[in-house]
Amino acid sequence: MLTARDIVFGVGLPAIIAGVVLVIAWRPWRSQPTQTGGEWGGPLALGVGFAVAYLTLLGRPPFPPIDSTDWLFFLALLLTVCGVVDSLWSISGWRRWVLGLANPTLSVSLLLWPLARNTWSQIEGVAWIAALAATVWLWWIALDTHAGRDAAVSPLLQLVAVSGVASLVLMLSASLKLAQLGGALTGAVGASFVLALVGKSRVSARGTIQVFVVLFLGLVISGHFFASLTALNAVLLGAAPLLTWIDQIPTVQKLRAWQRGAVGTTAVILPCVAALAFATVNFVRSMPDYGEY
Amino acid sequence: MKTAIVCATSVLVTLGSLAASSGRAPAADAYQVDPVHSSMVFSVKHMGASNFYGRFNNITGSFTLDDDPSKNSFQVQIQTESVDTAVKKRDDHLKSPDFFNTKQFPTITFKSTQVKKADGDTLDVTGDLTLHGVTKSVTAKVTKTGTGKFGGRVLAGVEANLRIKRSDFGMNFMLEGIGDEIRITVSLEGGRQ
Repeated sequence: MLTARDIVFGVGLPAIIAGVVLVIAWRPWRSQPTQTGGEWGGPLALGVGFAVAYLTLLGRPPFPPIDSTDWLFFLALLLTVCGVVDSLWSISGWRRWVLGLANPTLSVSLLLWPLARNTWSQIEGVAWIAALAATVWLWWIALDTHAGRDAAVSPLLQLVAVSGVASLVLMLSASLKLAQLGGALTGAVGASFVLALVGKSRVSARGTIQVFVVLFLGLVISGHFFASLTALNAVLLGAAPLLTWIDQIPTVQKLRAWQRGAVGTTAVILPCVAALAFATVNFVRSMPDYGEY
Repeated sequence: MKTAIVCATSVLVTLGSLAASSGRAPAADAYQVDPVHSSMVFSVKHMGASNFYGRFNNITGSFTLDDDPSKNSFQVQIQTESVDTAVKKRDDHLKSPDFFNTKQFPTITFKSTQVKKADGDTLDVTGDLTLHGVTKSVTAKVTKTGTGKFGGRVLAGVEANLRIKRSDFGMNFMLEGIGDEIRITVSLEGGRQ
């Protein structure tokens, strides 16, 4: 089970660090749009918050990592740089999507390399890595496009909900380590949500989405292939953020902004709750009669 | 005369061969590990209170026994997926990235590099232990437990005991609740024709 230490250092610490970075970058007391500066704060806050939580909870991993899941630490650093560059230089259109394909491809390859080497045939390895890298990439395009259509508050709240529930599901799927990292992601993106909510300026999720998507799906992929996260729960958690697009349905579009946000958030949370329910049932069924092991 | 010389030469050659063969040491006996009659158990401190025991069920390998300790050798492979603590949920946890990460590190291997005589029938066997992707030199106390015969095969048994720190092998999750030191006992039964 997650301990008090896990919550303090795994959720609270990244939230504080992310919050400090965002206050410096976004200056939420301003009434001007963030396009005058500060977009770089989102990816920096998320990446640095996650990386610091990783160091606190698990220690500095060796380089190159022995355990493939330790690549998540180094990927967080790389994604932070890419996210900051993405937010500062505003590369647009198809060039951005093509450049954005490199991160998912690298990330999925590094995480699944042990399986490609030990378990899968060459064709299987290429097929799995290509399919999952394409999935992560399309996820990023979908969420990034959606986030660019509206204020960042609702999308950030949805990311908090998804990563928070995913953390619990991973804990119930036999990996406290991945659950802790899910908590770190939740804490860091949670700070972004809080500041976007209370700040007067219109904040952008650009750059943040790229960092979040790769780390989040990296945790889900690791949970499925290396721990006990079932394929069903992996699909539910992975698909959940995409349901944010429900707020683009014409009927929903006619609602007020906060109502659209509520509909989108509800749609995102439902599959997460389903995954949590399935994971809880599996966990309870496999526990010994006498309780904790 | 010629017959006498031939006979004497034959006798001398025969005696010489006998002398040479009696001075030559017998070949070391090579045994193939019988997975069904071999065991590996480990114990670890739980919450500083008790010693908890678990096992691995899939052990393979071979060993060579000889009166000359330096001619003994041992090599063992253990499938990490076969970890068994009698509780499926705990076994799943042990197989996850939190501990053995069995999908990435499917085997634990030991290969001896040096064998020396210790006390009595005990040998000090030094070798390379590869666990969780990390290889370190360790020394185990190995005792010959006996010999036997079954089904036309000659059997021999050895038992090894050693202690390691799991953090030395990159397994440093939950050190505050689950001890760093692991005590390992491997009992091997090998057979040869």
